[in-house]
Amino acid sequence: MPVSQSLANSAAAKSERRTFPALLAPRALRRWIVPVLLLALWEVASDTGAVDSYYLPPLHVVLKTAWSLVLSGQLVADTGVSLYRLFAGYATGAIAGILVGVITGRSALVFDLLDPVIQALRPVSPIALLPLAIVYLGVGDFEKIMLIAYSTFFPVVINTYFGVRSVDPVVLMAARTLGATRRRDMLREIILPAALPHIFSGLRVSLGISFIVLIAAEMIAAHSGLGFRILDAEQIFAIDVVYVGIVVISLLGLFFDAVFMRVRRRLLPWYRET
Amino acid sequence: MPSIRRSILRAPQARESNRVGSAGRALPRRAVLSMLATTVLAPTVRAQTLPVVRFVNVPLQDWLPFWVAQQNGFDKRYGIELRPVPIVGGTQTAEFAAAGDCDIATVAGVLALLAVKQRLIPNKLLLLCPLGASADAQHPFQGVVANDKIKTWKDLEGKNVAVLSLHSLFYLSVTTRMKREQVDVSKVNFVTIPLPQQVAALKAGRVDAICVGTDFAARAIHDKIGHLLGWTLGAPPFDHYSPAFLVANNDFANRNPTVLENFLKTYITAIKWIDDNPNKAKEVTAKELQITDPVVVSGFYLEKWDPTLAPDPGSVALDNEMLMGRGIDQPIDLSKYLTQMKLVDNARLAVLGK
Repeated sequence: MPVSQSLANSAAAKSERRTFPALLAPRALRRWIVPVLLLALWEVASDTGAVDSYYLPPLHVVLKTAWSLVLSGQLVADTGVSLYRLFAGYATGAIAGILVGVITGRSALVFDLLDPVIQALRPVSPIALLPLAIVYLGVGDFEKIMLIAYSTFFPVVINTYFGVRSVDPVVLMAARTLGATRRRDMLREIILPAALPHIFSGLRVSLGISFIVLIAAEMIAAHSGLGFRILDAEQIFAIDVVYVGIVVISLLGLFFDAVFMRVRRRLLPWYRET
Repeated sequence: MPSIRRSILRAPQARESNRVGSAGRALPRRAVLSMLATTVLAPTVRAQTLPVVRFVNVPLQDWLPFWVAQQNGFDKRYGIELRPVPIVGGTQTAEFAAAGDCDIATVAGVLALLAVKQRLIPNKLLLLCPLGASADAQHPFQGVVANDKIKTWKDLEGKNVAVLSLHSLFYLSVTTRMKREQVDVSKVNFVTIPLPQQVAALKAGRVDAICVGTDFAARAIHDKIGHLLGWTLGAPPFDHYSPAFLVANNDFANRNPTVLENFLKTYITAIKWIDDNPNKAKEVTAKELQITDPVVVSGFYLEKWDPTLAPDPGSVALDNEMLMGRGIDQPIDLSKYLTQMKLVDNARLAVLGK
C-alpha cells in the first residue's frame, strides 16, 4: 500500500473516530439531550402515577400554572424583585471581593491583618446570619442585598488573591525592565490581566451561591420575590406554584451562567480552560 | 511460604478443636448472654409493644393536650405511646402528616379549608375533629403588640407589621380586625417573620408591631418591648372562635382504627384534665414554651378547652370569610369531611360517660 494511501486511510479513520459522538447529534443539540430526557421522565412519571402527582405535578400542569402567573403579572413582578436584590448584592460583594483580593495579594501586611478574619468568617453560612440580619439590617431589601454581598465576597476575594499571587515574577521583572515602574501601570497592564481567569472563576462560583442565598433570604422577612412566593405557595399546598418558582430559578441560573461564560470568552480570548 | 502452608493445613484442625473446645463452655456463656439480653432489652421490648402515635410538635399552646397526655401517662393508660416529631414552624404541620412523617397533626381552620381545596383532605389526610380549644374574651389567644409610637390601630398604616405568614391565622385575623378598626390594610407593610424572631425584631425597631400568641405577647410586654394594642382572637368577630382541627394521616387511620380511637380517648382525657386543672395546665404550657419568669407565666392566657370536641359552624364560616378571594373562590363546607365523628362520640362516651 502506498504511503500516501495509508496516510489517507489513517486520517479517515481518525476523522471517523472524532466524529463518532457527533453521530448522536451536533454538539449544540447534544447538550439538550439529558435535560429533555429528564423533563420527559418528569411528565411521564407524574402523569402515569409512578410518582405521587401531589408532590410532583405533571410538567404540563406546572407550565400551565406558570403561564397563568405570567398573565397575572405576579411571576414577572417576583422575578424582577429577586433579580434586583441578586444583582445589587452580587455587584457589591464582587467589587469588595476584587478590591480586598488585590490589596491582600499585593501587600503581605494587609494579608496578615485580614486573612484570619476572612478565614474565620468564610465558613459562616449567610443563612445562619439571617436572624441577626433582620435585627441589625432591618426587614427591607437592604438586609437581603447585604447577605448576598456577604456570600459573593468570599469566593471572589480568595480567587482574586490567588490570581494576583500567581503572576509569574519573571513577567513582573520583564515589565519593570521594559519601563513599567509605576504601581498603577503594573496593576492595570500586568497583574489584573494575569489574575482575570482566577477572578472570573470566583465570580462564577459566587453567582451560583448568590442564587441560593437570595432564595433563603427571601423566605424570611419578605413579602415579594421568588423565595417568598415558593414558601407562601408551599404553605397553602399549591405545590405547582412551588415548582414554577424552582423552574424559574433554574432557568435564570442557566441563562446568567451562559451570559457569564460569553462575557468571559469576550474579555479573555487568550484563556482556555483545560 | 512454608509457614503459610502449615497454617492452612492446621486450620481445619484448629477450627475443629475450637468447635469441640467451645461446646463445653458455650452453654453457660449462652445462658449468661441470654439472661443479660433479657434484662437489658426487656423494657425496650415492652415499650415497643405499645403502638406508637407520632404527633407533629410545635411550641404553641395548641399542642397542650399532647404534652399533658405524655406527662400524665394518659397515652399508656389507653395502650398507646405518643411520640413527638418536633418541627420549628407551625405552618407545615399538615404537610408532615400528609407525607407520613407523623400520624396526627393540628391545623388551623383556614389551612384545613385550603387543604380541602387542594384535595389534600380527603386524599391524604383525614379531618378528625375540632381541636377542642377556643378563644373568647376571657381566653384571648392572639394579639398585636406594638411599640410606643403606635397608639391606635390606625397608626399602623405605613408601618412594618410582622406576621408568621401571609396565609396564617395571625395575618388573616389581624387584617380582619384592622378592617373593623377602619385601617386601610393596603397601606400596612406586612413582613413574614418566624414567631420567635418577632420579639427581637420589635425590640430592635425593625418592625413596629408583631402579631403573636398570648405567650409571646406576655414576654414582650413584661420585657417592656411593646404594649398590647389589642387582641385579635378573643375580640370581635373572634370572640367565640375555634381556631383549629386535628387531622390524621389517611394510611395510619385506615390501618389502625383501634389505635385512632385510643388516641382520641387519650386526647379527650387530656383536655378534661386541662379543664379540671387550669393552673397546672398553665405550668405545663410554660415549661414546654420555656417560659421561666413567674410574672410572664401569670401574664399569658390559656385557651378555653372543651373535651366534647363539638364542631363549631360559626368558626368555619369565619374561616371561609377570611379566605374568600385569598385562596378560595366559594365557601367550603368542612362538616362534609368530618367523617369520623362517630368514632369521636364513642371515645367521648368512653371517657366522659356522656
